[in-house]
Amino acid sequence: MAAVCVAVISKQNFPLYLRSVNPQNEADLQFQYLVHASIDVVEEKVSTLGTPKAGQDPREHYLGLLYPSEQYKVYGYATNTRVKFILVVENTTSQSRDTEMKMLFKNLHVAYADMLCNPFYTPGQKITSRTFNNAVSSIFQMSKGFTSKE
Amino acid sequence: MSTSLRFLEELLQPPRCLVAMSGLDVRNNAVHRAVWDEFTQGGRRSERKPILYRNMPPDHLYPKTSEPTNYEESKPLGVLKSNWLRKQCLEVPSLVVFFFDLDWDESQWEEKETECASKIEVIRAALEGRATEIVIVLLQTTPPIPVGDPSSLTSERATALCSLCGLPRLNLFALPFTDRPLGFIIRLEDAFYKKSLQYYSHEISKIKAHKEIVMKASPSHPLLLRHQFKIAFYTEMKEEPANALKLYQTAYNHLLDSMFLSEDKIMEFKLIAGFLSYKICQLCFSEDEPLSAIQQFRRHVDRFGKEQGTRPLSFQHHEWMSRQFSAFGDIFSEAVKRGLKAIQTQNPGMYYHQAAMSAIARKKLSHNLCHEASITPPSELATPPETTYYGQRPWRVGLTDDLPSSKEKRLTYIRTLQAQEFKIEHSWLIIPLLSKAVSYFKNHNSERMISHLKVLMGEEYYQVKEYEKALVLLRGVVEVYRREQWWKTLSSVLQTLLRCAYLLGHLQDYFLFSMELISYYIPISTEEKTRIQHNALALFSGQAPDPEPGVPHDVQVSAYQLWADEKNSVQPSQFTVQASSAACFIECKTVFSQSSVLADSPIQLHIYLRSSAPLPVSLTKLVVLFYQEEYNKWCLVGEPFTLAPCLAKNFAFSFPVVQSSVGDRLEVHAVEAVMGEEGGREVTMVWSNGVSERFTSLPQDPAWRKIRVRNSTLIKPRVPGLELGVDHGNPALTSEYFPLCVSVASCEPRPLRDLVVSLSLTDKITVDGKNTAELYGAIPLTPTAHHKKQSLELFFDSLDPGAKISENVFLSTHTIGERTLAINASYSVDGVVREEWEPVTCVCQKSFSFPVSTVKPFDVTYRLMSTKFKVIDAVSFDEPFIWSPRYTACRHGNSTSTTPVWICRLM
Amino acid sequence: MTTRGKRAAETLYDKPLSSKGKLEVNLSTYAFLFSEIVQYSHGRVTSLSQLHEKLSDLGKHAGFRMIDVLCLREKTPKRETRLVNHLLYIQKTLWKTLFYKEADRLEQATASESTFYLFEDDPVVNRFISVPKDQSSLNCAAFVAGIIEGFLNGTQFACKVRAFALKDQPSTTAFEIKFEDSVITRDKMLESVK
Repeated sequence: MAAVCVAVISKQNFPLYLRSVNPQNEADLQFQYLVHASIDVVEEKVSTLGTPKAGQDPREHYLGLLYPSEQYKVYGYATNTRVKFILVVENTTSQSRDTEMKMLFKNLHVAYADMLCNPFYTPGQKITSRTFNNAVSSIFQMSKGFTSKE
Repeated sequence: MSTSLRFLEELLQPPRCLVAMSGLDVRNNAVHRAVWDEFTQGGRRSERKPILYRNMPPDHLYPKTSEPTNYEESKPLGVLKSNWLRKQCLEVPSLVVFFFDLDWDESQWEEKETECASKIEVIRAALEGRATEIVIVLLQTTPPIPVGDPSSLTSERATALCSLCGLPRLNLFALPFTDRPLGFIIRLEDAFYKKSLQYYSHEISKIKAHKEIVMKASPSHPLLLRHQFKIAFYTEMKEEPANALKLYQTAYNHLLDSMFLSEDKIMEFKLIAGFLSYKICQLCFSEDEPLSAIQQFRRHVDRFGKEQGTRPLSFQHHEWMSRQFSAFGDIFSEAVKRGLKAIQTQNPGMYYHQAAMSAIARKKLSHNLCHEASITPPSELATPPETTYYGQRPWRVGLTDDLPSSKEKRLTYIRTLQAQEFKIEHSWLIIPLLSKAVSYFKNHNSERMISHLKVLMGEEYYQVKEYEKALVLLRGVVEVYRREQWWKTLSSVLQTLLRCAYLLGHLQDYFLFSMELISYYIPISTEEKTRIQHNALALFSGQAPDPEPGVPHDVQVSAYQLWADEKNSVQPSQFTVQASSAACFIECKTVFSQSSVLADSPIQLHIYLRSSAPLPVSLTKLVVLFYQEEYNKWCLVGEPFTLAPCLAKNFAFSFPVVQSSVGDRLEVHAVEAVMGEEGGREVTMVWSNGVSERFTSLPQDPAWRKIRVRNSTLIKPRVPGLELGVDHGNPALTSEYFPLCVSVASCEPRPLRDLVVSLSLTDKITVDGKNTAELYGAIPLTPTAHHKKQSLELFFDSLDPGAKISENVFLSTHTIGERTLAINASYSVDGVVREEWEPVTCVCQKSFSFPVSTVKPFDVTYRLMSTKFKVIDAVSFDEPFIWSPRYTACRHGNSTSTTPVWICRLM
Repeated sequence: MTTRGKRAAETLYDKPLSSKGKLEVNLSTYAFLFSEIVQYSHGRVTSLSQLHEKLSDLGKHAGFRMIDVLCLREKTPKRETRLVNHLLYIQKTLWKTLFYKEADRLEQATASESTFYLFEDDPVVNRFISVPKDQSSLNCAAFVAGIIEGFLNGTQFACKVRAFALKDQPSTTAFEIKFEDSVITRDKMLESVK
């Protein structure tokens, strides 16, 4: 269940940050398309969060599995300020556990909030902070650790 | 090999019982034809049974059964014979119906009987070994004899016929062909169906018996799979979908357990697993269990998705995957049509998308692997033969695991397959899958997913050289990516579009796409941008642009031709481009220096243009258009100018106010810049409202960001240089002709003209419908209605600078209180804003309101007194009394009372 | 930013060693930093109102970022959309996060329905600032006003916030929050929809 791509989407739906584990040209473009297409599902889920349905906890930020494709699974997370985090993981036969994904997202959210507190960062611009990059690298490492556990 | 990979139609359709019709001469005999039509296409479909009728000639040879081999000793050569399905669905009937024209009261009964019997013998011989029953239907022209009628002739004859043919009495039916045979036919069909079901049940029990034997011998014999498949198939034919589903699932699980891990067997098992999975999913959907179908499919794909097979033929794996996905998508969409509700994350479109992705992978592999094979001469190629069993490799047939495979044969076959693969035009397989996916996603309003699919489709169209279609498709997609500011994907799409535009020789589109590609937002290298800009600028000097890299050579030639045609076309091409909505390489900002302008001061307007292209850009003209068209002639730059990269150029305009627009808001309608040659190719870039779109995702140049846009300004009237005053001695007395002295003094440097001063009463207080105040120009001797006015105007011709005039008007009020009057002076004066412009005539106005309070002049009270100066109430007749009036002036609050005394006497 | 409570009975030795992730900052540090901010701004402006504006701008930066930080820390997935609830949220949660106590009073102005007053007795920012007599209208709580304004603007409640000291109680600072008409109209619409 190794994460292969992390994306941060702003509230106007353009990417603030998109990084894949192996930055090759071809694959990167594919991730761009994939993440962009998954925003559709995010929007749908966010709009239905307003009306709590049975079984769905309305107090959650975590949106769950957005789009299961053959190679990758896409997970989403939406914050209060309409900033969305998208995580793309490799599709293996093992069952992905929600708790692990939630933990990864939590780390990402904390890293994002930290970066936001930086007075030199203007909200709405591309994220270039090195600390954030390091945090994302550690998320990649952590997700690899999940695979090796199984 | 590839033929057996494909799903056969027999698998895709739900199976139907096969009943063979014999003895029907459809071509010559009209009655036979009618009977045949009734059976196959007749009415009352809802009551009909799922039977497939086939018309066999009477001497048709049915496939022979094979001898049951001794299962314990020999190993089966394969799981499922490749023609088994076909045989079961089309060849081996469960029932043979023999039609024979014979009436009960036929004169030549004996001969007919023997004829019938012999024909039956022929059929029986052909069906030897099978359990298929034969049924005779006598086509009769006489009306039907009711059942149970003890007419000895018919029953006698019937019994005789049956015994002669060797069939039980029940297998004989009579079909009187009257006008409406439908009822009979349906009854016959019911009977046929029952017999069919019997046949299949018999077959199932036969296989079960085999299975028992085999299982006793060795519990995990590979034949068990075959048995299970056959049993499940027959169960499905018998219309027991729930049982069939369970059996298929058992078979699938058994397959998973017993897979041998050698390469050949993998292919075979994969294929059979594909069949089983398809059947399971189909039945799940029809049993209204979509979730289990999806689960099964996922499991199936997860398990077999990794088995790529031998490397040179790995494209076949992707073909198989693609087929699996699209077949699943098909059954899913069938279910959706039947009323299943799909959601955005689980809908047939997803599966079509996956099928397309597999097909694209197949295409890539085939390009890489089969290139060599495509150039081998045909003499070295040999089509591999069809195998007897599904999924087996032809070069392994007839061998056991000990003997080595024939290497040369193998290589030849592989190469042939590769050559065949190479010839296939994959894009035409991919495009329908993608368009099906798009249609499903449209139901869920997944705009972005649809854009992604359209991009893939556009790419495929480009590959098959359908450039028009690609252009049309991708144009819509560009909007989405630009609006959401995904620059990387936008640049990739734009590059494809540029190639298409180049290959089609579309001048306008080519320029449009290059314009966006060289802008600041698109993340491609500077060399790329320089190259694109160079090409785009070459357009305007009448040349054709250089071909795009990556364009195949053969198409380049035709492109050259198209560009040459474009160049030689008669009319000069001038076109307009909306630069404000695109991420153009030139950005525009309009700034009015002030937010409001007086009518006699010049308007200052700055237009800033900034180019982010790598090379300098030269433009020939710049025009600013306003909503008020009178201003259009002022802002024009006619000489060519150059924009250096990343430097903002400022164009300053100042122009006078057009007096008719005083009080309006002057707004810029559009800014137009022209690039190109006069009379040659020209492009006009238009920025509507004078501003280009602001994309916030990328940081902008701080100097550029500091420029604040102000694209409208309010035109205020000129400040009047006039002193207006009204003099009056407040308060007025009621009904007095109260004089108001209106004075006008001019502080203008130039003489005024057309000075009009108007006074009016603003509060209209009426008592009993009559106005309580009026204005008079002069005191009339006898006031008539003509003189009384509510508003008054004074006209003066002109006033010199520094002069002062005054005039008296009169106000007469009849009620006490405060009245408000308004005075307004308007005049026109010439002004010169700047020497080079014409003098303007400004209309100025000044007004204010002032109150006038009215008081009663004096009050009169009186006292009655007696001659002794005592106050009395009443007066008596003929008695003198003193009437003393008292006058109180209200003016200053003091009462100055004069008390004259009148001595009166009533007479 | 939180302050340490001035409880005379507890000394430094009574407190636990590691504050376990409690997000506290030393009061003196904060006061020092703030005084530097005020001095820096003071040296670059020419009038009092400009000083207020500068402090307010700095506060807006901080306020805007507080939205995301609070969102992360409070773990509630929903933001308040109603006006009064949002102001209560500011009074309780935001103030607690910033100053470790709640703001004292929240009132609506009787004159206009778009103006609200938030009162705080003895705000931290003003504790170490003595205002000279000739600049008696200086109130460094303009910084906190900026925080509130940044927070409200970022959560789509456009407003203007002003800070001033009450005449009769100079230690109490009032923050006047004036919302734009669009916000009030929207709130009324939401009210009617419910």
